[in-house]
Amino acid sequence: MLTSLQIYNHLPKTNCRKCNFPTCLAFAMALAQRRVSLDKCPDISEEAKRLLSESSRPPMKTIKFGMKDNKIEIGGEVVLFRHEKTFYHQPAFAVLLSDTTPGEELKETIKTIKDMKFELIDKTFKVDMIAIKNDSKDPDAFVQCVHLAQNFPLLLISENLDTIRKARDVLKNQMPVILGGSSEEWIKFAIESDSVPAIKGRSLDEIAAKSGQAQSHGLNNIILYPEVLNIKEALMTLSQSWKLALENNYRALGFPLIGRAGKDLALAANFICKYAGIIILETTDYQELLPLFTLRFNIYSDPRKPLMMEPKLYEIGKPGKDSPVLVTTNFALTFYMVRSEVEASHISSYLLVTESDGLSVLSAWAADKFNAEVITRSIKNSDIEKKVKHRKIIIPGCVASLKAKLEDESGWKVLIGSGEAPLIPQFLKRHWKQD
Amino acid sequence: MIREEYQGKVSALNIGGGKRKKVVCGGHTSLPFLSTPYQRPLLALEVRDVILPDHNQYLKKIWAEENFLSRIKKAESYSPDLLCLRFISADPDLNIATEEQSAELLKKAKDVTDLPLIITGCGDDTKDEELLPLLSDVMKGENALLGVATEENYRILAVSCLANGHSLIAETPLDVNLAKQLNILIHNTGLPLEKIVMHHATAALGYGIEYCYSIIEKCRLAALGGDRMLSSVMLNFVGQESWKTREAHKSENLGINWEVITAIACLEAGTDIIVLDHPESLIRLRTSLRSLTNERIGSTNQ
Repeated sequence: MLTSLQIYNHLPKTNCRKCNFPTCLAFAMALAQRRVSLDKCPDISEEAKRLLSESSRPPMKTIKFGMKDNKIEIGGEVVLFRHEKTFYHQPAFAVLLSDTTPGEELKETIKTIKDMKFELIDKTFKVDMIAIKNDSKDPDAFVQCVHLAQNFPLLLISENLDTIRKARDVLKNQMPVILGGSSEEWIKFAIESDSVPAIKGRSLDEIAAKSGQAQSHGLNNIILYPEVLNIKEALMTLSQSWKLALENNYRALGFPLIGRAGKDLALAANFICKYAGIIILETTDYQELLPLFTLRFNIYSDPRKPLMMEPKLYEIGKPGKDSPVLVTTNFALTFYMVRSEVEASHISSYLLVTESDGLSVLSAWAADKFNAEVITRSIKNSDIEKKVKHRKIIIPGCVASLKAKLEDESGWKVLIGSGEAPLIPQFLKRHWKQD
Repeated sequence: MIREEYQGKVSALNIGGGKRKKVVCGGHTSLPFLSTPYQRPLLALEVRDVILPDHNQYLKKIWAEENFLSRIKKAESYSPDLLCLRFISADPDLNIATEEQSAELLKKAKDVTDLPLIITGCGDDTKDEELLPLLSDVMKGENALLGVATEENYRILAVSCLANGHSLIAETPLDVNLAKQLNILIHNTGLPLEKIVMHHATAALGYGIEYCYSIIEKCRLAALGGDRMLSSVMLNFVGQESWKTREAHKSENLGINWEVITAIACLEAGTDIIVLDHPESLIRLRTSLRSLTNERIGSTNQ
C-alpha cells in the first residue's frame, strides 16, 4: 500500500481540478483511502497508471446487477466497523421461491412481495429481489417461474447450466445473478450473457481458488457464496472474508458475499450486522421483514451524519383542539425518544419539530439553532394555530431559560416541560389540564 | 484462517454462587463469537415488583395476573440464566411502597428462586441512592448484580456493593469517554473493574440502536486493544426498550421479533448480558446463542 505522498509523486501536480478535487494532493489522499478511482485523473501517464492502479483499486469491488435502468449496487465497503467511517451499500434482500410451487400460488406470492412496503423515517423500501431455485430439476418449470418474476431483479439457482441458459434468454431487461457452478463453461457463459455469477464453496480457500480462476479469465464481476452450516460458521466465514479483503488486500476475496438465512430471523440479522451483500430469506411475513428492514436501515445509516427528521408538526395519537403541544428539535434520536414517551403517556398530542440541523436539544440551544425565533417560526409555519384553541406550548425543561423571550415573540404561553424525555408521561399527566 | 491476537481481554464476571446457581460471562479474547470455545453471553428475564396499568398490553397478559413471588416462579420456569428483579414501586411518583417495604419484599422474593439475581431500582437517581443500599444489604453475600449506578449516585452504591460482595451496573448515556470516566470513578472507590458492568443506555431497533451498536463495538475493541478501564462486560435492557416501541404495541409477535433482533444486534456488537421481558424471545435467543457458541444442549453455564 502506498501512502498519499508516494501517490502524489506520480501525479501530474498541475492542480487542474478535472478530478473534482482542489489539488493533486487532495486527490492523492482520497486515492490512498481508496475513496476514488485513478481514472478520474485524465492526464496521468501510462507509467504512473501501471504503478498506481494496483494500489488505488478499492479493496472490495462494487458489484452492480438487476434491472438495466435501475441497478442494485452491493459491496464496495472499506471498513470492518461502521464507526470507522460508514458502510456504503446495504445488503439486498432476496426472497426465495421454489419452481415446484404451483403457478397460482407463485403469482400470489410475487404479488405479495411486489405490494409490500416498508416505511422508515422519510424513505420507503421494498423487497429488492427474488431468488428462484430449480428444485423441480425441470428446465421448463424453472423458465416459467422466471418468466413470472422477471420484473424483479433475479437470483437464478440451478446446477444445470442449460437450465440457467434457457432462463437467461427470457430476461431482456436485466442482468441477473446466477448461482450453480464455477467451471470454465459457467464463467464463459457469465461473460457472454452479461450475468453476475455467484462463486460458491464450502470454505474460503475453495472460494478464493475459484474466484482467482474466474479473474484469470477476465471476469471481475462476481459475488461469493460461502455455504455455511449455522450462524457461528456464517459469522466466522464472512468476518474472515471481509478482514482478508479489507485489511490484507486479498484480491480473490474482494467481492460482496451472499448469506442464506432461510427462515431464521436471527441469522438474517447476523448477516445484516456482519457482512452479507445479498441475504436470501424464506419469508413474506411483514412482521418478520419489518424488523430486518429496520435493522439494515439503522446499521447502514452514516454515523458521520446525524439522522434528521423533517421539521414539521407531527400528530401523536388522535390530537384535537385541547391537546397538548410540545416542541423539540429535528435530531431523529431526540424525536424518537420524545414521541415514544408521549405515546406511553396515552395523551394524544401535537409535536412540533424545529429546523435545528439535526442537533439534540442542548446542542441546538448552545449553537443558537433552538431559540425563541426558531420556535416562533416553526409555530407560524405550521398550522398549529388552527388546530388547537389554546395557546400553550411545552418546551424541554433543559432550555427553561427560553420562556420569557419565546412568550414575547410568539404570543404563546410557555410551560416548562420535564428535563428528561422519560419524565414526559408524568409531566403530561400532572400538568396538562384540559381547560 | 488467520487468528487475530489481541493484547487485551474482556474481564470475566460471575454472578451467584453459594446456595445459588452460579453463572459466568465475559473473559473474551476475540471479537464476539469469533473464537472457539466462546463463553456464552447470558440471558436474563426481568420480573417487576408491580405491573402498572400502562405497561405493554401483551406483557401484562403474561405477567399481570399473579403477584411478584408467583411471577418470579413463572419466570424461573422458562430457565433463564438469571433473573432481573426490578423494584419500581418505590418510585417517588408512584409512591406505592417505601424503600423499607421493597427491602421486605426482596427478603421473601429472593428465596423463591435459586437463580442468580440482578437487582435494579426504580430509575430515579435520588431514590435509588436510598433504595438500592437496602436491597444490597438483603442480598449480602449472595453475589448479586446491582443497578443502576449513575454519575450522581455511584459512590454510595459502589461502597454498598463492596461491603456486601456484589457487582454494579454503571450507566452512562451513549458515550465511550463518559463510560470510561464512570468506570474509573467507581474503580477508585475500591470496587474492582471485574465487578463493574457497563450499560451505555439501550436503544431499541428503529429508535437509535445504531448508536448503541457502535458504542458497544468501540468498547469491545478498546478492551481487546488493552484499555483496562473499558474492559468491563456490558449489559443491555433490551426488553424494556423493545416493548416501549410503537411496533410492540401493535402486535405481540412483532414485539417479540423486535426484542429478538434488538438483542442480536447488541450481541453481535459485544454485549454479554441481555435482559428480556418476553419468555418467547428468551427461547428463540437461547437457540441462536447455542449455535453461536457451539454449546451442546444440556450443558451448563459453568
